[in-house]
Amino acid sequence: MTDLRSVYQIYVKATPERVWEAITSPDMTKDYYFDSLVESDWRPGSDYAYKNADRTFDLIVGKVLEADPPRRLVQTFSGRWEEGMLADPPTRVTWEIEQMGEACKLTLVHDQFESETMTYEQVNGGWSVILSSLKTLVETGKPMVVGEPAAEVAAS
Amino acid sequence: MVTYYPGSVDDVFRALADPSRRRLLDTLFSDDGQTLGQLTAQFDDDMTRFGVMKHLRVLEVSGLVVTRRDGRQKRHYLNPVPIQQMHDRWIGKFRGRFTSALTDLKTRLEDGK
Repeated sequence: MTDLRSVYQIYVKATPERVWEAITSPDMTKDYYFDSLVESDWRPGSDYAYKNADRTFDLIVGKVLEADPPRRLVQTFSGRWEEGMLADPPTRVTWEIEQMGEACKLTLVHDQFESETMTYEQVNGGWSVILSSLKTLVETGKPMVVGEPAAEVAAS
Repeated sequence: MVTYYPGSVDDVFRALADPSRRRLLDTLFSDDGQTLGQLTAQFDDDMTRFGVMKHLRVLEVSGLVVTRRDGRQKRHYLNPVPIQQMHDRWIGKFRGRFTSALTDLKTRLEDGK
C-alpha cells in the first residue's frame, strides 16, 4: 500500500515571482482560492491562515515550514471548514515553482495524511479547481468565475 | 522558439482516447502513487511492462500523470488538473450563473418577495 499523497501540476504562463505572489497575497487568493484571504509574514515558523471574506473565520490554518521565494513553499495544513476535520492531525502542502521558458511549472504536493481522513476526502477535487483558477487569474488578470456573458447581458 | 508544455487539449484527448490508458488512470485513481512494477503487476497478461511504459509516457505528455522520485523509486500520480481545465472551458462559465441564481433566490426569500 502506498502512502497517501496527492500531486497536482499545471503550467502557468508567468514569471515565478508572479506565481509566488498569487500564492502568498490575499489580494490574489480572494479571486481563485474559494474567495479566501491568505495571511502570513511567510517566515519559516510563522503561522498562516486562509480567512473567509470578512475575516471572521479561519478556513485553513498552519505553519510555514520552509519558504524560498519564488521557488518553494512548504506549510502544514489544517482544514477548518467542516467540523469533522478539526480532529484530523495537520497535513503538509508543498508548492514548487520551476521556470520553463516563459512559463512556470507549478506543482502542488499534499501529503502526510494519517489515513483517509475527512481532510483527505475534502481536499480531493478542491486543488484542481484552485490551480486551474490560479492559472486563469495570473494569465488573464481576471477571476475565472464570471457572471452573465457580456453579449447576453447586452441583449437582455 | 516554441517551448513545449504538457497538457494541451489535443494531448489530453489523445491520451484519453485509448482504453488501456483509461484503465491505467482508473488504477491510479483507486490507488495513487504506484511504481511501474506495481502498475504492470495489475495488468497481468493484458499488457507487458513495455506496453505500460509506452502508455504512461503518453499520459505524462498529456499532463494527466505526474511522476515523483521517492528514494530510488519513481511513483506515478493521477493529475486531475487538465480535466478540470476542460471542465472550466465548457462548463465553468455556468457556475457563476448558478451561484448568482442561488444568491438571487436567497435574497428574494429573505426579503419575503
